[in-house]
Amino acid sequence: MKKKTLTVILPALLAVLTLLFTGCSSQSTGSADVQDDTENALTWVYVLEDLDWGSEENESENGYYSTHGCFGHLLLKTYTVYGESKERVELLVMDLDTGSVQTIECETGENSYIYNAAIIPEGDFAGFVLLEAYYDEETHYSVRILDENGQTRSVFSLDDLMSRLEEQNGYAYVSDLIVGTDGYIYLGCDSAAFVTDMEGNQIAEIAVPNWLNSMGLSEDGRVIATYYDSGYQLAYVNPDTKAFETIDFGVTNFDSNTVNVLADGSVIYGDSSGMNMYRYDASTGGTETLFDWVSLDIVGYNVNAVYYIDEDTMVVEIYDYSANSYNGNMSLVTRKESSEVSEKTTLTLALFSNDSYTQEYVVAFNKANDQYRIEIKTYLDYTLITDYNDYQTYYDDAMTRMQNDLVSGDGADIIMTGYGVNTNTLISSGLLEDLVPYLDERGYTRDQFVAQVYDAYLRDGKLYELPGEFELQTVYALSELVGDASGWTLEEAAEVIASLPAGMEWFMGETCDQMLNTLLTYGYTSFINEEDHTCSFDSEEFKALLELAAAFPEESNETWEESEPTKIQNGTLAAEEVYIYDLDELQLYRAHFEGKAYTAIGYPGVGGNGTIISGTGSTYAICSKSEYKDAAADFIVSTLTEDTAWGGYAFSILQSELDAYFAEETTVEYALDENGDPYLDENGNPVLIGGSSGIGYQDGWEYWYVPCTEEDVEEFYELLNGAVTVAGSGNSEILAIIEEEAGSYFSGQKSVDDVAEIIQNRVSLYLSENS
Amino acid sequence: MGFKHKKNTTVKPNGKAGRQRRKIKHISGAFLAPSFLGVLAFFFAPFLVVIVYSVVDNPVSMNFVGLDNFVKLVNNAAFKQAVRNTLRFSAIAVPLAVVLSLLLALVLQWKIPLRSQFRTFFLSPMMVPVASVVLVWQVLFDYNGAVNQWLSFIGVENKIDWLKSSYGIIVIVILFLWKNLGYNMILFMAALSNIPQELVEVAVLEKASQFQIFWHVKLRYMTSTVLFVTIMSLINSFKVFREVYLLTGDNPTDWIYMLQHYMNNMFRKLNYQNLSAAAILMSLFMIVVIGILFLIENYFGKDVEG
Repeated sequence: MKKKTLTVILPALLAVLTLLFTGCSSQSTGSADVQDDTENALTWVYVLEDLDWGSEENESENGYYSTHGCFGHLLLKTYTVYGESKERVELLVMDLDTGSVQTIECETGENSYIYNAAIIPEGDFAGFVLLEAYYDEETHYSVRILDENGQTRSVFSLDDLMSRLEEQNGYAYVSDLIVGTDGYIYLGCDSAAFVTDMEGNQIAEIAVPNWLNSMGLSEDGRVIATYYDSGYQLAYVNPDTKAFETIDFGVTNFDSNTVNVLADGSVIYGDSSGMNMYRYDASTGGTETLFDWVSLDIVGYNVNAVYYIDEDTMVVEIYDYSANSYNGNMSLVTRKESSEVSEKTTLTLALFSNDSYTQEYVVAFNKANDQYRIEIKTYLDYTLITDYNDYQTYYDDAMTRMQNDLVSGDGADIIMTGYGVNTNTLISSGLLEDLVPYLDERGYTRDQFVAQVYDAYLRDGKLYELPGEFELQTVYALSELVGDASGWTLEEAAEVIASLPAGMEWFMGETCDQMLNTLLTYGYTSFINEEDHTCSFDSEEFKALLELAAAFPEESNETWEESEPTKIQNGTLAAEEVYIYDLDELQLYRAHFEGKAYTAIGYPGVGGNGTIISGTGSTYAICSKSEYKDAAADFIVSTLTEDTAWGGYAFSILQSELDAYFAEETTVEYALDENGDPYLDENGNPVLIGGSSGIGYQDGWEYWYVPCTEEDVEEFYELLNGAVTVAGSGNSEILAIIEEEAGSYFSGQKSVDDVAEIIQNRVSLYLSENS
Repeated sequence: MGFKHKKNTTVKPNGKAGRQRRKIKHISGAFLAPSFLGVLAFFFAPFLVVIVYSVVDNPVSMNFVGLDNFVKLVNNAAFKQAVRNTLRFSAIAVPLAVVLSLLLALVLQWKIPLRSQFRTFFLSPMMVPVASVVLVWQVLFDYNGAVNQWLSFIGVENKIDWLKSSYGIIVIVILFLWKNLGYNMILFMAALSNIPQELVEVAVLEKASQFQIFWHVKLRYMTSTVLFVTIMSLINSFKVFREVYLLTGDNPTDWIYMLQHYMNNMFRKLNYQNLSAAAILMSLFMIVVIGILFLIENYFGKDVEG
């Protein structure tokens, strides 16, 4: 090759390679990376600002605030104070222009509570409309018109309307109240929108195809509504034509509470998964993402309403459900130049599909951390799936994108595992970091964790992922059938199930598919030799299992008229799968077998006592390509602490918290009278604090929970100590092959020999790929 | 000899002619640059990345392991099965695709009724999306499909599990031929129409038989087209995975497990090192086969290209 030609080709090749590798190895290095996505975000960022209502600190335990929304530049809240009966109601009006808050004590109906309130947009501030309700065997609604001083101008009852709706639909309620610039009152009543004048005279009744979802005011003062009709629809409410005028902006899965219509027909809306806010531009027909809620340190699922004020400002109403607060809080979302906002180093958390708990964890971490912030990158956005027949395509695309991103190093610092993410693949590719040194460094050694769970998650001495909480899954069966030993082999299980007494079924309503699943979900490894990557699915033992499963019906013929405990007591049910996520469940399942000896036999072929540890909640791992592994570890540790734990659905993986839970559960406290003596119930038994709770089944069988005891705790540990496997750690692809092929045997199309041969063939090939 | 002559006459251009030649060179360079850069960016550079991946332990740690991945690969049972199946499929499907399409082209050269309709008919599979084709094939060759129903009408009692038995290769070959015959046929028809008619007429005058005319004249003139069709069919035979994948998924039986199944599964498992090694071996194989085909073409077709 000529020297001159080389001098042309080599620089070109170098340039191409440089570009290629730069693209491959770029790493998320701060907020600037996030902002590359849109031209808009390069200059502007949205920030959250609290609104100072001034009087919130005066909230007494006998009073509560209710937010009623934004009307032009005025925000409205009510504050209701209760004594023995209702004492007073205050209207709090904030002027966004000045920041001033006006408090107006107002008249209300006796014994009624304020269900909704609106400001009459006549001039700047002309008065209020209250939707009141009181309960007197049935709910009575009325509308009260107040002047700007809170004095009643007029009141009209909605009883006639409610009676008519009750007659028409079998139920009646009013959910929305809006006052239009036309001076009419708009009421949303589930099946229709009603328009009245200030005297209560009906102007229009506009029915919706399914149900009315929300009502609001557009930027130019027209009343808008959202309703459901093959997806959510947005429309103007026109009392003149008595019809909805649909606003088509190409989206039908928006969050109806966040929709705002601008004067030019553009639409501001949030997606139904609570991730992002978007702007549909009516002039171009295009849609841009304005911001994601997490970037504002808001959990999107907690957003109750969004009000567009102007190009730079929105008001957002937030309910903090995780704190069990049902008192909405309004804040400002303002657009600022990015240079005005202090930057933090950004970590990316890769999420395969939307997860509200992760949002909560991330928001809590971002709020508490000055140096780092986490952004969430979701790969499978359910709101974008228009046709669920194509779900598998969306799923595969999302998985491929996620894996490619992770391998290229452009994906994430933290990965949420589970929910379809194949942890085994990520580990074998070296993509996950061992968490042990990071946890040790932060004082979370093995001793701090529930050791059995910690050990179950160890792989070759390394911990790649850890759930926040766990539950136990096992099988309880009558001891007369399975004996006293815990844990059994597939052969033993097959022998017992095949020789059940006449009239007795193994699991309730079990089908052949379910039986195969029960036997093989964890037991399939019995037919696999991991060392030489071979299998024996053509063995007589496996064929016997298929034949056993085939003895169960293809479709369940269970009528469900009798409950499981009743059937167990009647001697027609031998076993049931149990899920232990708190001590009450232990009691409940014990009660199912009341009077009968039972054994926690577990799943066949599992090893140990056949019990499975199932991680619940969100499980995270650190990407080995991350530059910010320590910050990622800080985040993971933050999800383990009590402050951010996602509600205590199951057992904590931290031993100290588990101990505290058991101590609390086994402490019996009685309600005491003023003399310190316990209150007694009608049977003369002391009344427990917190009362007693119970559970009832469809056939009338019921159980009332009793205080937990040390024996319950011992029973829990007995199950836990023998649990050696983590749920979901099996190979889903092998199971899918078995289930797919077994189907044609169950339906009678192929012989057991043919099916076993095909399974053997396919699984062998699958295993040899990994050799 | 010509090259030597050319070399002797190559003198450094100067003056107006030289400037013009340089200008032409620059202009042609400018026109070539986009394609050149495209090839570099989308073919050459990715292939270099593939080479890099093939000699590292995994794409994350990127530790150099020499040829270990290649050694592991050639010892892998699944890879060997995929190679065997792919070669067997190519060995059956490619000659059939070439011969049958050539026969069809010859038949359609005759003045038979509905000739253009036949041509359109054979081209129509190219217009049908693969997903639709596969759907039709599933209806036909499913265990409870139409073919088994027809067979039962003619007294074949035992159903054939077409897609999960050794018959699978037949289904795939039929699918491949159905999909590719039309395109190959058009290429052969174009080549047949370019054969100088005077040569055929001379052969007729010399009392050559139809077979002799075909073998010694037509086929000789069509050597380059035969080569091209063979290469394209060979490449397509390596790409038949798409149809097989849609028919049987990621993990079929070992009778129809193709090389690209192996590669696709390695990709899903993020085993980029094995995937890359397999891709390189496949490329080397293709280069050798195509090289041999060029040698054959050179041997048989040099006199007609003159």
